[in-house]
Amino acid sequence: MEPTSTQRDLLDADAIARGESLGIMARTVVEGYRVGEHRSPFRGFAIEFSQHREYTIGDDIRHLDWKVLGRTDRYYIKQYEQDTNFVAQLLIDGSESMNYGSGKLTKLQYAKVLSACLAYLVLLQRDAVALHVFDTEMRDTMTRTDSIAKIHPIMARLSAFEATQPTKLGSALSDIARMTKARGIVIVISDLFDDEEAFEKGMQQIRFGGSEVVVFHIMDPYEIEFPFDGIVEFIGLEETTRLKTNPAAIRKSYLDSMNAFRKRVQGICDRCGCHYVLANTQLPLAEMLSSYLAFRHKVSAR
Amino acid sequence: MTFLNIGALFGLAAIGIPIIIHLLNKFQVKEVKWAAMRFLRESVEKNQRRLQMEDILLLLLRCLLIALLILVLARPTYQSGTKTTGSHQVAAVIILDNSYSMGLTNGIQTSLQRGQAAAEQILAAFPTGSSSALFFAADGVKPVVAQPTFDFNLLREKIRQAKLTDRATDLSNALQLAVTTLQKHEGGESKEIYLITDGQANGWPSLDQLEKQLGEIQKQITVHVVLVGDAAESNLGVTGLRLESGLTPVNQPLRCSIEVLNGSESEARDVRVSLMVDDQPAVDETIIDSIPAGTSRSVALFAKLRTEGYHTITAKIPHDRLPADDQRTLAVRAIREVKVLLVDGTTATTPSQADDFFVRNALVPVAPADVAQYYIKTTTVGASALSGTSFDDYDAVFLLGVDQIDPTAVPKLVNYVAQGGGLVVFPGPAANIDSYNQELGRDGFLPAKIGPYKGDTNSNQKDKFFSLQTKDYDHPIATLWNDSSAGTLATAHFYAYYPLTLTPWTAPAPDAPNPPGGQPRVVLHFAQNDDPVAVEHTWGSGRVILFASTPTIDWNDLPVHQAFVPLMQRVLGSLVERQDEGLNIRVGQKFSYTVSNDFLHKDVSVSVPGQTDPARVVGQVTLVNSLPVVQFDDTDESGAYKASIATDPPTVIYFAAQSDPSESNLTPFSAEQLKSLGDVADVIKWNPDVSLTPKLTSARVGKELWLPLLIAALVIATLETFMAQNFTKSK
Repeated sequence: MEPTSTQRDLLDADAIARGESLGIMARTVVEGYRVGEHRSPFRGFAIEFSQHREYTIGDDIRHLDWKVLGRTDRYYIKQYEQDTNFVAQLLIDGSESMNYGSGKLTKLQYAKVLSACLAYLVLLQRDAVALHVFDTEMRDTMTRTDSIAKIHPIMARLSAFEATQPTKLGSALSDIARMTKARGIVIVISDLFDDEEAFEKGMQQIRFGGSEVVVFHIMDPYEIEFPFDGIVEFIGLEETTRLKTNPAAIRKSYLDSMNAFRKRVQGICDRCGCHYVLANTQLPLAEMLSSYLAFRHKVSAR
Repeated sequence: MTFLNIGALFGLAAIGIPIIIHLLNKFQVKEVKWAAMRFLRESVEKNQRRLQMEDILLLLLRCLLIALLILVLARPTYQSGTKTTGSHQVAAVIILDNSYSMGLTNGIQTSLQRGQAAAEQILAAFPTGSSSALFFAADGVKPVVAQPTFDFNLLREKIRQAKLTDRATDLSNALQLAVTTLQKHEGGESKEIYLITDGQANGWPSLDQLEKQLGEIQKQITVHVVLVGDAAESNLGVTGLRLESGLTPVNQPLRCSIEVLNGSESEARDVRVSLMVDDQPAVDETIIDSIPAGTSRSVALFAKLRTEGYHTITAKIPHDRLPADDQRTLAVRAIREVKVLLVDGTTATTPSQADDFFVRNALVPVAPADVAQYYIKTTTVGASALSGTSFDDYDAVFLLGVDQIDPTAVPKLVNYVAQGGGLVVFPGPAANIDSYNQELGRDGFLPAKIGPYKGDTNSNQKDKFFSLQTKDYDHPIATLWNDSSAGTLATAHFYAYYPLTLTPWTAPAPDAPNPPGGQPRVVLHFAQNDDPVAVEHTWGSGRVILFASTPTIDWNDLPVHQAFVPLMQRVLGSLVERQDEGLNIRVGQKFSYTVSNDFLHKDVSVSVPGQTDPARVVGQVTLVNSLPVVQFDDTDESGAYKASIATDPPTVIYFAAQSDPSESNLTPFSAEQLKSLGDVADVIKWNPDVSLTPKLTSARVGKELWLPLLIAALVIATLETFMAQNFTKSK
């Protein structure tokens, strides 16, 4: 199936080119279902020695370290690190607030492009991708796949999605935590405009399941800088409220609130041991993604 | 509070502009769909009240700023008094003093030039749409621009053409005329009078009355008195020049009395006084060693007139800062001889008992051998010959001790005097006073009515007598004896006299013809009871002098006193001078001089003092009251005028205009006078370095408030800018 032009737009060539060289390196050990580029939490006997442990009944005697037995007359089993692939759960915020965009690009579009690029990169390194789009509930779910050929359906699903509902990020995270059987990577792409406590709870649940979480915090530059002048009536995207005000007069107050929010969110991520990445839609996605992947590569190499 | 530009107040509607902008801003709202409403709501809730307060405050400041700017343009004024003009146009009269004291110079400018500058400043200070009249004033008013005009160019031109006159100052007439002019002027303008003068106290002879007059019009007309004179100045002036000799014979020394006033606050020393005849080099001069401050000194100088006819005698002192009063000119007519007819009333056996004896010898006080050469020629006739004598050959007639007046002679005598002759009457001891009163006194021909005699006619009673006054000789005939060196009349004794009751006289109405008889004046009076000894008045062109006692020693011993000679000489002089007294006039007075019938309808040309151009023809000799008269009006300058009658060769008549001596006293207003004047008028001491405009504007409309309002507007604008910037800072 040939991709449509809309679908093709979701793949940022530059981002993919840069991301391909860096790869999606699983920061923590993931439980894969086949051998891949990522270390598996399961200690195997295949490739690279990891450690010794005492022999217990039932162990395959093939893994006995005969040299140790010969020297010390003790039974030790040799354990090896086994490479595996991972499942990247892409959790995309499809709430109405993601429809905001000060320029041509809305946060949702940015999130879609980011998701498509990440999915492609993951699939490209023969890892698996699962796609979830949520608002108040899971709106669209695509089970995991490790076939590169599935990138087209992924993009088709992404481009077909339209945001119409408010957010319930916390419940979406809880759902993911519940659905995830094996440890992997959960990539949350959202503006995080929701209840912070629920968000933290959801994060903790995922982390409890052993999955790594990466949070891409999608923000429009206007949300960060609030550069409005004159009298502006703000119409809520997820609510019916209208606020008429002089933005210049309250800019500092707004930015203080916004920065505090970002700090709180970042704090939640830090507490949960997750990566927090601010994705300003004004910046080229390739730059943001390559920057993060470089950082991730560096961290994984330790 | 009044507004100079009340139309600008319509601009107050502009206060609505910021309100409209404010409202438009409220309605011109940009709608933005927004995701991060949560944070926005927090900020708005936290700041909404402050934002509203700031909005209202800024709106109020902007409205206030616009209101202040409009008020600045409207030029509000504040006047502390109750007087508000209600109108900004002015109808004014500018009175510029051009009396000769305005000629006082400070070495750079005369007071008149300063007055002209002040007048131009006053014109410039008038609000648009104002009108003004212009009067030049001294002791008379010259309405140069009689009615308020809008043509300020004309006014400026007339102001620049203002010329000094040699008139004295009396501004009350000008002020009255200005008040009348403004009261008749129709229009809603405020009315103002500007009186530009040098502040000479003498210029306001009746200051109290003037202040009362100003007080009455104070509510309708604002009077500004602009003083342009310098501080108290020293000034010496010739304030008097009189011919003390009764007559002006050719080649006889004529005694001239010259009075010099020191108007300074310090003594003047070594003042040189010169006497000139016909503008020739000085014929006599003297130096007054000292004239105390504020006083006058008189000196006597002598001149001789070499030819018969008209001459000028000029007394002069060195020039000072007020040149106009440094010389004074008198016009005289030199006579070769004076013919006097003596009518002797008695038939005495000896010449010394004749009634004409003493008078004749007094009039011709020379040795018999010199009588023929003496300039006074006397002819004596008896009383009976009175009616048959032609008086026209004589300059004067003396009736000496005539008992009974011949009624047939009276009309001829009256006509003779009316034509310019002189008559002296000495009643004798046996005079029929009824005859005098009824015949001569008819129609008021005599200056007094003669009453029954008083005193003791027996001259042996030497201890009962009346004597003449010893001082305060006011009449020109007797002023000589104010100078004690000239002798005295007081030693003469009068034993009997006829009481004289002055003929009633009332001043004629301005438009009525002059009566033949002038106001009787007492020449001499007794010291004891003030009864007149001699009374005179004019009659037509002549003069009549009536004595109360005899011309002999029957009732008095005056004829045997030395003083009798100069007295008779001066009596005769006053009779002859009567013909020529029209030669000396006051500055501004009309010159009117009777001449011979031969000159009737001849052209008359006059050159004024200092004129170098040829004399201009000013008219002809015309008949006035059946007499051929030369007339000339324009006598604003003091000095010698030369009138030429177009005969072949031309007949020249000199006449002189003399300025008012009081004008030489430059004493300015005292502080008290200024204060009381300030109660009824706005007194402004003009200074060439300070413009009158702000003061006049302030006086006219009160104090302008635009400057403090503008400052307030600037402060508000600064505050608004600061607050607007501060408010728009993100909070």
